[in-house]
Amino acid sequence: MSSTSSRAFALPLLLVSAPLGLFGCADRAVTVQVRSLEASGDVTFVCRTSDGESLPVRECNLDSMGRGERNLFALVTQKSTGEVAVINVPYNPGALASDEGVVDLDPWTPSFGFARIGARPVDIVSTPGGRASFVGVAEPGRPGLFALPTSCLDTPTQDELPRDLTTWPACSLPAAPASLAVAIDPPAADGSIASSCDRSLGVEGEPPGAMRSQCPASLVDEPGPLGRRKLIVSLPDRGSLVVIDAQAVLDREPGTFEPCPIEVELPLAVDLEGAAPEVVETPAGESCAAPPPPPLDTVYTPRPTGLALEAGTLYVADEGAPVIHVVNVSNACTPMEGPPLLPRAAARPDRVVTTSRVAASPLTPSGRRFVYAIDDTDAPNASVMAFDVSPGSTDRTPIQHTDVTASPVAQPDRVMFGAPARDLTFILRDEPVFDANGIARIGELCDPDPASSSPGVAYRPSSAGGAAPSELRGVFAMVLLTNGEIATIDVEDFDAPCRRPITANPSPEEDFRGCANDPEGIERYTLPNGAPTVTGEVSCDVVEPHRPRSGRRMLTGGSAGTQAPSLRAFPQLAVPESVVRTSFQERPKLLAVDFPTAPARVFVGTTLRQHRVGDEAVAGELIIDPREAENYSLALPWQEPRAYPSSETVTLTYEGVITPELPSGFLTEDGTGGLILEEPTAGLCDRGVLDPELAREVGVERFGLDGEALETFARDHADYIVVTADLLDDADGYWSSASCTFTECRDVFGDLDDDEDENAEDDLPGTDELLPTREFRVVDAEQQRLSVEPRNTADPDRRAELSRLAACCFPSGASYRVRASRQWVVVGSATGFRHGIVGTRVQTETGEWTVECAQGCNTSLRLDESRVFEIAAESCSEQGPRAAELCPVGLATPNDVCVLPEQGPVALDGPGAACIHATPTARFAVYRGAQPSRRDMQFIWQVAGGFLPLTLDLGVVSSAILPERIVSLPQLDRLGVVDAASLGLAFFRLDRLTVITPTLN
Amino acid sequence: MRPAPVPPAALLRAAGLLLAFGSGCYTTEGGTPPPHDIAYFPVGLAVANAARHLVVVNSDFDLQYEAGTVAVLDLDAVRGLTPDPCASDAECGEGRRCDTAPSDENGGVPSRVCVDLEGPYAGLPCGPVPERPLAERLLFPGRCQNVDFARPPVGDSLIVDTVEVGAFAADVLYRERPPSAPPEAPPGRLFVPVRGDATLHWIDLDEDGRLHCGQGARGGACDERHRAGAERDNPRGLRLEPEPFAVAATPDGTGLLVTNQTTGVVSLFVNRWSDEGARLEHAIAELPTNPMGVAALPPPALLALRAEEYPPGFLVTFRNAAEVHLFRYFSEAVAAPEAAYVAQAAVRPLTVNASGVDSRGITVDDFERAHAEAACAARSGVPRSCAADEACLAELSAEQRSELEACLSAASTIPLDVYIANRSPASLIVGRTRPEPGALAATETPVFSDTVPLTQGPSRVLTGSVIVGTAADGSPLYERRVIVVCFDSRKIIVYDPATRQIDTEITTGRGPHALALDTEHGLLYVGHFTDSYIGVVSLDRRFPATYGTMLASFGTPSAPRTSQ
Repeated sequence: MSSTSSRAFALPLLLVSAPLGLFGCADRAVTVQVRSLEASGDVTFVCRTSDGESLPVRECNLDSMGRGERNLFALVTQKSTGEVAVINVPYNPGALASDEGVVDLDPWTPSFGFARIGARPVDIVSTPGGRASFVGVAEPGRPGLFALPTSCLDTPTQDELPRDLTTWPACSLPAAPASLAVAIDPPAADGSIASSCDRSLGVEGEPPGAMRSQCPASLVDEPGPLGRRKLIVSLPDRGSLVVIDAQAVLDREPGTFEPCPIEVELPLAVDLEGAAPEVVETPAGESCAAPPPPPLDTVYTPRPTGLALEAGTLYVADEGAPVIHVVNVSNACTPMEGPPLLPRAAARPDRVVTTSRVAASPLTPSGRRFVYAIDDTDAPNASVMAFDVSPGSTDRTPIQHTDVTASPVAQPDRVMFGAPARDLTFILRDEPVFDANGIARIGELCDPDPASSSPGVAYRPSSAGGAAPSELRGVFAMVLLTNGEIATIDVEDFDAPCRRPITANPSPEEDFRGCANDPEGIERYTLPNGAPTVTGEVSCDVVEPHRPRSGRRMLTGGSAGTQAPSLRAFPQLAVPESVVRTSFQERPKLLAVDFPTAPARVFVGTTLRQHRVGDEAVAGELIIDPREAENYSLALPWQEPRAYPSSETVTLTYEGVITPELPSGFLTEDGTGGLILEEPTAGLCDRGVLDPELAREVGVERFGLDGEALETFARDHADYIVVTADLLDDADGYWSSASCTFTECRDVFGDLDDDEDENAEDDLPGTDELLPTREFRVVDAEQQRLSVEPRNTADPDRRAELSRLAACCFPSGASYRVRASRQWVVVGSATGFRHGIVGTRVQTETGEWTVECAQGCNTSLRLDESRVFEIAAESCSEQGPRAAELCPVGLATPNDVCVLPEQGPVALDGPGAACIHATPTARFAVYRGAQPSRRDMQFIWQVAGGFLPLTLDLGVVSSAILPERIVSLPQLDRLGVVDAASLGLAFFRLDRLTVITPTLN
Repeated sequence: MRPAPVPPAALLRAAGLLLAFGSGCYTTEGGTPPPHDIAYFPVGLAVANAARHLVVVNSDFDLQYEAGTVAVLDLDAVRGLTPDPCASDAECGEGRRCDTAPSDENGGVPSRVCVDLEGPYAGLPCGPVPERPLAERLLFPGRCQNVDFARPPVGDSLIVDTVEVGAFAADVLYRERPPSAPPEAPPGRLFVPVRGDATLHWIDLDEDGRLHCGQGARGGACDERHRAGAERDNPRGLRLEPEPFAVAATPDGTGLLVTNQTTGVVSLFVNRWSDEGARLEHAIAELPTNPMGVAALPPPALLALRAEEYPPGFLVTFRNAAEVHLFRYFSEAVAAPEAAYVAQAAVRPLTVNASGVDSRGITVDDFERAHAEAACAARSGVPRSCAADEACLAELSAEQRSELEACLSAASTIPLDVYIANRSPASLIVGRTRPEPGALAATETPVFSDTVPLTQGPSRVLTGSVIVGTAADGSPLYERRVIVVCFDSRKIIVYDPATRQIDTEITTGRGPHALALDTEHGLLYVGHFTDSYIGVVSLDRRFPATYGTMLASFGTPSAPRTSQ
């Protein structure tokens, strides 16, 4: 190969030319990385001996390559140029041997010579024995297949012709292909192998393709499974799969492009039987708000795309229909389609879920098999669904998790990442520990039982290794994201039994660590000498099948630092300036609450603080009694470690804002003394606005209210808006024709200009300082419309007058904020304001559509997820004139929903328990202070040690990356990633979880 | 959009002049008048008047002249000099045949275009236009040599009209007169952001291809009145920020949003279909720096039937931020008593790429929804234009109106596709809106969920249809495509959103930049910025041999001066 080839320098010249053009000659030489690959798309691998004999790809392992006995070739499609680049995969990319790296198939022409094929290559596969590879091309007007014999992957000799478009056997397809797979037509009972699916044509013999002088290829006797090699090609435009004899393509005269010999065409069906919509469960047992699923008799046109072949079954993604086809190709000549898998979205049953790519897992040691598929049209990012296709499995819908919580993008039946999923593959990996007899079993589970002596004890965590996040022992799905990250999903982690807390919980009821049903007789997972047999992580759910793998050992303290959810410090309370002089006693108190089966506990820094129960002393006591507490606190549950972002600052604000300032609310009178606020762009339901109807749901479900109490609760706790807009200038011509005057408006609503501080950074005063007349209670909420009424008056006449004035005084789009009423609001810097409210379409009697706010179907979110109701007390034992100021818990007022009979902490099953804020990421209660809580009082705390998924990242090499394909190379213990931008072909070491540099480009 | 590499001397000169222009002292006096018969660093193309005219905006990028120009070409004449692709004689009509076999006339290489059977140009693939020497085809792709604008080998000059505009024009937008405009309004109007004097030129284009912008004489310069933004003659006393870059408009051409490249500002112009023309009304600052591409969100036809609050939307991309911003335009009608204004409604981060910064062009495709809306009109027995014409709607029976409304309501939920040309890494970012009936404006912020690798230097992107077949009645069949121009690598990428595959890559000459689609004729016009000419590319997939190739070139190529 020539390093001075024009192709190699084409890009660098472009990159360099611009700065040269701008600044003239440079004094210093610019080092530019030379690369030859461009717009790489897909890859396949073939293995050869040093003398050119093809072998199954598993024969090319690091040992054989290191000894120079084997060469592993990567064939990488070049989508832009219609070529296949050949790369002799180096044993050590940092020190290329002379014959390693990109192979120049045309040394007589400047530039790297690649295998020229038709334009728009879409997929490439190799036969099991590696004798040939096949490329599907979707060139406009010339779709087809090209065959690349492995015998022709070297630089041609002087006696050979240059490799060009006419070197390769090829044939045309009736439509553009999408994906290819190689299946086997097995031998007959007598061991004979038919040359065609048409058995009358006899058994196979020496094929014409084997007798060519240049680039011979015969699949007849290639290593690998016995039987005739058949190509299965998906044709989206025809909605079918076709079966083509691979050798027949190889036998085509190079340079010709006659129709491919299609032996079988299988039109794919869209069988939705059994796809009846399921009833989505909500905590209240009521149906949630979502448009109905598409009718089962909807006609879909199948568009098969990605293929995954495993154990004789072909799984076919479909971009046109909500099915994943399942085709039995154990006999490739008689493919039979069975009942399909049924992609769907539990949170959006109305969505027609289609798929682009699929991957099938190997059979796990426990006898399970799974299919993963990419839901391309999911939002905000393409997600991944998992299907159980184990022998005997009958559920054809995505696997659902019952305890997925917290993240707005977390859904029970799919995994979504920070960027769309592009491709996926599975790895089955082990690092077996051999016993004294030199025997080890692949898939041995780690055994944490202190009394056990099984081989599994060898995998326990120890200073020398053992179970750990980075120890990939098991079956894992590796999901390639468009941003260059590779996410890891646990499928069957052999070390999972040892990834847990030391304490055991034999009870069937899950504790706050997510542990349950531990074997009787084990109190702690420690040896007699105190050494743990498990990792000692805080949760039993650190490893969960089909969910992202943790990138760190979730424990805090000692040498680990903070790797489990922990408070950086006790929460702090910030108060508005008007109440800054109040005492601790007078202020509200944020305090942890015990878990149902254990005392409250939380790491503060690396110190475990624990509520003392009884007289037993504990180190680092956590005081949760409002009469005694000197610090604010909360407990952090550990059942759901994935609910915690890696770190987060959380605020809890009284009557906090749930929307930023929205710029254009148009106020008009509604004719009944109230107002309509039109905000066409706000998406108010999506922002979680709570109207009385939704508040009523909270009142019923959470507090068991009814009758007048329920109505009062709904009215008091529905959100309200605060108009933050300034009045038009008093000289504005508007006032001359308006039905209100500037003075009148200024007197009622205030003029923000009056309060302007020249030195203030913000022109507007805080909403705490705005007049109460600017507050309007939400009466009804829709996605882009609110019905509101003045909040602080009960007089109907005054109410109507305020509404009239508001519509007149703010005649154009007015800015405003939405605030929660008489409650506290939790907002996380990473997770935001969490709620389960969605917009749901409702058709009015006139046929028009409105979008009402309602509880959504995502069961991982409650509509009051971020709303906290404070607890008051019925009585106070303090006596004297300042008694009320000294009560640790403020006295109740009428219509409070959580009232303690006397001062003290809330009991889990006593009065006020309904106001305990218990989510997967926090457990606490807010006790009212002796003084009423004031708007914008704010508790602040920071949580560190949240969930950090295990990801590999191409971004450490370059930001110019557009990954396209991921493949597993178990014989090398590596993952291969094809990047269409700058990296070409990159490899990750699975033992070290690092990208190997330089990449091959 | 990335400016072409220019010689240092020219850059310095340009920078100096730009500074002068930035202070608002653009003048058309005292310099060398620009030539009116050539393309000169073309930056904008627009097909107008039912594809009878092609508008070419020349930027005068190296400031060799005192002004840029806007020229109108006769597209009938251009097409007449452009070879017609074919597969058989049947497609070529009487007196012509399809050049499918080697011959002396084609030099042994069939052109697969229609050639004359007889006459002086019989059998010649380029007809009266000479063939380009093979050695030149690497730099200037295409078999046929360039045709001079003013002196074509047959017929009259291709130029219908020209006017002068400020130097450093950056873009062009054409809008036909909407049904709501008074009949005396011009049939169409051009809007040209000009960086040199920080203005938005507005120029009327009549049905004969004549330009009207207050120029003193044919070919003269547009007057002050047609250079909006230069004066503080607006309710808020605003002056257009420096470096206006891209422009987009509502379908009726009344609201226009202009990005200001260097100041992190977007500016709202309101166009009145009268002599008042466009006027700067509002601007939003404090955005990420380098706002670049802008695209309007086409409103659904349903709005004509239902008085739903719907402020038109615009999407804006940025060079320095991996974000797309949604702005809403509140017209004078709803913003009263204040003047029209624009508000920032949403910000959507771009997370599909590792970096995501350096976004350039953006386009919104409502083809699927528009197709459904047309079907609604057909089903209700009214012309398609009726769905957006209040007078026509008023004449419908209650039953017709109800049926039409129900159908259009369903159509309004069809998502819009959004495409962004991104440079770091070079990719096409794909997004969709998720419209909900009853909350259309609130659900139009697109979600970006896919990224397609491209070659170096994507800049502009547009959507349109290519011809893929012929119906039984002989009419062409179309499919949707996304077309992305990659300046640096001299490529135009044609992406098929249905198959999510790149359909073809068109190799162009140096500096492809401006694009305009002539759907009916299956042609794409490409403005070559660097060498200053217009290429014509086939987008007729019925003929694979010529699909995505340069059929003809117009305008004498002129390399940047230091490279000559």
